[in-house]
Amino acid sequence: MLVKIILGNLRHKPLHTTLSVALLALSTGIIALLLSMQTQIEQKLERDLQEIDLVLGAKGSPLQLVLSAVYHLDAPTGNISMAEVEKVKKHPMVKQTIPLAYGDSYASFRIVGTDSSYLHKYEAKLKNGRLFQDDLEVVVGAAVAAKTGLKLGQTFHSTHGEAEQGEIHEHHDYVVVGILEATNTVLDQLVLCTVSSVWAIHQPHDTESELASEHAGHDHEEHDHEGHEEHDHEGSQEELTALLVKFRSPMGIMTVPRMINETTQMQAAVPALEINRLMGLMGIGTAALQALALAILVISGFSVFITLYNRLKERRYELALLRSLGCGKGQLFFLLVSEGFLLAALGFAGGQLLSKIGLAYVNQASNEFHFSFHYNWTPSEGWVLLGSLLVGILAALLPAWKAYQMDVSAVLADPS
Amino acid sequence: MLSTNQLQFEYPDGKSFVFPDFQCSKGETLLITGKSGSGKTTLLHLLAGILQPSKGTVWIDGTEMVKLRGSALDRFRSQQIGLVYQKPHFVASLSVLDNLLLPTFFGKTKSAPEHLNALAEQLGIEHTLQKKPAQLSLGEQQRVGIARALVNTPPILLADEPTSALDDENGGRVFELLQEQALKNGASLLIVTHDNRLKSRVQRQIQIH
Repeated sequence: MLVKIILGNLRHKPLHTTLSVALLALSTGIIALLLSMQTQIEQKLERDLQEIDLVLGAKGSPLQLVLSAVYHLDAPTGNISMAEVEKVKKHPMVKQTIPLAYGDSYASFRIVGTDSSYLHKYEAKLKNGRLFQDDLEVVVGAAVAAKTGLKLGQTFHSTHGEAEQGEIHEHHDYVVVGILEATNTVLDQLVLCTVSSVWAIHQPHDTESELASEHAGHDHEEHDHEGHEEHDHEGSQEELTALLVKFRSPMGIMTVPRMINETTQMQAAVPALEINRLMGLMGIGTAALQALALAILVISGFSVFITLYNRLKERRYELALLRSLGCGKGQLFFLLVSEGFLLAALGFAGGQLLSKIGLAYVNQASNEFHFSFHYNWTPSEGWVLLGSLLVGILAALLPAWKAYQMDVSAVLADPS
Repeated sequence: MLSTNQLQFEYPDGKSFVFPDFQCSKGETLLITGKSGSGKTTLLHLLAGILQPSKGTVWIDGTEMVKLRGSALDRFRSQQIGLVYQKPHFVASLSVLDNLLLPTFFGKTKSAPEHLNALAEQLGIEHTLQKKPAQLSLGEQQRVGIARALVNTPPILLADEPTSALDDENGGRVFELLQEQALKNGASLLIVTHDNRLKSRVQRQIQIH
C-alpha cells in the first residue's frame, strides 16, 4: 500500500517528476560516462605498458615515441640504426629487448615487423594457423581479422603509411599464416611479421636482383630468422623503428636512459613517466567536465526538493488524513524520503542508459583509434549510484521533516 | 464505552477549553453542540487521540487514551475509532477502493472483501470503487468518507459537522446512514455539530460553551 501511495504521488504531477528525473539522469549520465571512459583508458594504457621499462627510438617527442611504439597510436619519430641497437642489447643491465619495424599498413591496421618475443610478452595465443617464419608471412590480431575478414592463406598488399589510401606496394604479397585469439592488448589491432619482411618491402625495386644473388646461398625455410638478422647487420643500412627494453633491475632506469640520450643518436623514453604525464593532462579535461556534471547534479537535487516541497503544501490534507487513519509519524517521514529515493533511483537508471548510448556514440566516432569501450560496470560508477541516491534522500529530508512535525489537528480542523 | 474525566486543553496562543464530563454507551447516539469557536472540534480531536489533553483523560473501552503514545496510539485509533469529516479528504492518486483499504493497512486489520463490498452496497457507492475520488460527486464522496470510517467496524464513530454543509435532504440522508450503521455494528455515535436540524432528531445532547 505504501508503494502505491509513493508511486501515485509521483504520477500525480508527471511534469515535475519528469523534470527531476531528467535532470538527475543527465547529470549522473555524464559523470558515469566520463568515469567509465577514464577508468577504461587508464586500464588499457597500463595493461599495454606492462614490463616495458624503456622505449628507444629516433630523437623527437618522448610522448610521441611512447604512443607510437607502445600503443601504436601515433606516427613514429623516425628510425634508429641497428648498430646502435646492438650496443644497447649488449648492455649488462638489459634483460630483454623486442625490435619493432613499421611504416606500412593494411586497411588502416599497422603492419609491424618484430619477433616472437612480442607475442609472448602479451601472452598471445594462436586461434588458427601458426607463427610467421619466412618473410611476408603475417599473423593478424583478433580485431584485424574481425574487421577485414582476412582468412588463413589469404594474400594482400600493404599500403605505405598509416592512412587507408596511399601508395600500394603491389610487388609484394603478404600471406596470412596465423590468426590470434583476442588478447585485449595492442596486439589485437596489429598485423605482425618478421623484421626482415619490412626491410624486403622497402628495398628499391631495381636491386631485387642484387638481393636475389645475396640470398642465393641460403635456404630460407631452414634458417632461424634471429640468426639471419644477426650476421647481416654489422655494416648494413637496415634500421628499426623502435626497441622495447626490459631491464634486469630497476637500477637500469636510473642510468641507461641518460646514457642513450646523451651519447647516441637515439632517444630513450620511459613509458610510465610519459603516460603519467598524459593521464595528468587528460585528467584536467575530464575534471572540468565532471565539475559541470556535478553542478547539474546539484541543480537536479534542487528540482527534486522543489517538487517534493511544493507537493507537500498541496498534500497536507492527505498526509493529515493518513495520520488520522493510523499512519505513524515515522511512517510518514519514511514515505516522503522514499519518494526522493525513488526519484533518484529512476534518475540514475536513466543516466545509465544515457551513458551507454554515449559510449556507443564515442565508439563509433573514434573508429580510427581502434579502441572500443566496453559497456560493463566499472567500480567507480558505484560511487555515482551512491551519490545520486544521497542527493535524492537529502532533497527529500526537509519536506519529510515538515511532514513529521505536522500539526494534524490544525490541518484537519482547517475548513478550507 | 466512552467516557471523559476533567478534560481540558490549552492552545499555545493561550486559548483554553474546559469540557464537561460525559459518557456514551454502546449503541448510543450523542450530539455535542455549541457555537462556532466553542471548542467542539478540539473536543473531537481529543476524543480521537489526535490531540493530547493538557489535563484530564479519555477512556475508551477500558483503555486510558492518554497512556498511549506514538504508534500504539495510532493503531488504537485506527482500530477503535472511525472519523467522519465535514468535507471528506482522500489520497487523490489512489482509487476509491484503495482509499477504503487505508484504515485496514494502517490499523493492521484484515479486510474481508465481502465485508467491504457489502458496506459499499449499503452506502450506494459500489460503482465508484475503481474511480479516483476526484471523479465522484460530492454526495458520493461523503458516502465514501462514511464507508471509510466503518471499514474496521470500530466501536466508536466520531463525526465532525457531517451535515452542516448539506441541504435538508442530503443532510437528513447522511444522518440516517450514520445512525443505521452505528446501530448495525453496535457502535457509539458522537456527532459534533452546530446544525440545528439535528437537535430535534437526537435525544442525548450535551452543550459546550
